Amino acid sequence: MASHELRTPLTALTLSADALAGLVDAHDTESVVRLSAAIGRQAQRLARLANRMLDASQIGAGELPIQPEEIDLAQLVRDVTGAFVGEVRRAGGDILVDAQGPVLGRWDPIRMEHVVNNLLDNAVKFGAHRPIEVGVHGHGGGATLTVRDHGNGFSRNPGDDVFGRFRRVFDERAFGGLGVGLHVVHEIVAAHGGTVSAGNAEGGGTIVVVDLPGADASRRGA
Amino acid sequence: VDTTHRPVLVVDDDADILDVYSVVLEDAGYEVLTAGNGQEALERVRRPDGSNVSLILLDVMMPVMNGWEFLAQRSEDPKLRNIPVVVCTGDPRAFGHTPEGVAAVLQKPIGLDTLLAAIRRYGA
Repeated sequence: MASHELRTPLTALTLSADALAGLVDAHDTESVVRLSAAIGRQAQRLARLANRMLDASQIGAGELPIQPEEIDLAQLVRDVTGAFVGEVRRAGGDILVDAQGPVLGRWDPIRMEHVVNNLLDNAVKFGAHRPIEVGVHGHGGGATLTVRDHGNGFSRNPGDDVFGRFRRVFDERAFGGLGVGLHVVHEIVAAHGGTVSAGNAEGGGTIVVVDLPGADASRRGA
Repeated sequence: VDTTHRPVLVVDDDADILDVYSVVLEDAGYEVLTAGNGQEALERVRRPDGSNVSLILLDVMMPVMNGWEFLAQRSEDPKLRNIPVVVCTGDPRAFGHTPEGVAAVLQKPIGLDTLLAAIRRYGA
């Protein structure tokens, strides 16, 4: 499955590489710009897949190092979300961000970036090109991150099953994926001493809620 | 675009893939139509001018209607049955063998030479 997941972005890169020289020779600037943009987006997608595979591998080996430092989670979410906006809007959707900052705390910025990436990748994939809502709020030194889509939601309440490794609660013939995204989210959040839940949102779609404790409670992962 | 080529319909749920196919095939002289899933593809080829499509490049894993479901619908429709289909997939083993009515199965990643050769070979 991992190999399969890599092959679609590699197709975009391969075809673009094959065609670019000819397009440059033909001075077809518009096509060069379109392919260059696609290359950039697909390279980012490959990077996210690579991160997910590495995280899953480290979790599997029981070695998920967490290196907390003082960060503004709201800013991190705005930055990560910003990288998705172009892709989502091209597909007819949008991302609505409620991340009034700063939301300061001691969390691992790289791992938290992976958490947000994984949740947004899922929301884009299952969100049926409808608006995605992302929220970050601080409370008592901790923070709550929510990501909600307006897709079809779960056909049944998945409970904690959804966080298992290689768990798939959506039709495999309709949606690709490594089957480890939410598992990685769960393990990273747990390593920070936090919790994560996923279910159907009122009014449709899915909602994932990540609760991160403040510094005192998160020493487990430090 | 060389108007002697009839259009190629590309079916994929990845907007970048549709864009890249469009650029490279239009550069090679083909008119390109796109659909984001099997349902959109059916609607496209069932339009009055749909039979003009020379070839369908079909992804497999898609929301709304996946490639397998599209092939099943196509096989029941005499108007669509004659349009050649080339399946583009990351996992050809998922088919076991080339499904009935499918001209070829290409494994991603697909290079430009392979893509153009398939279109020239199987395009009606």
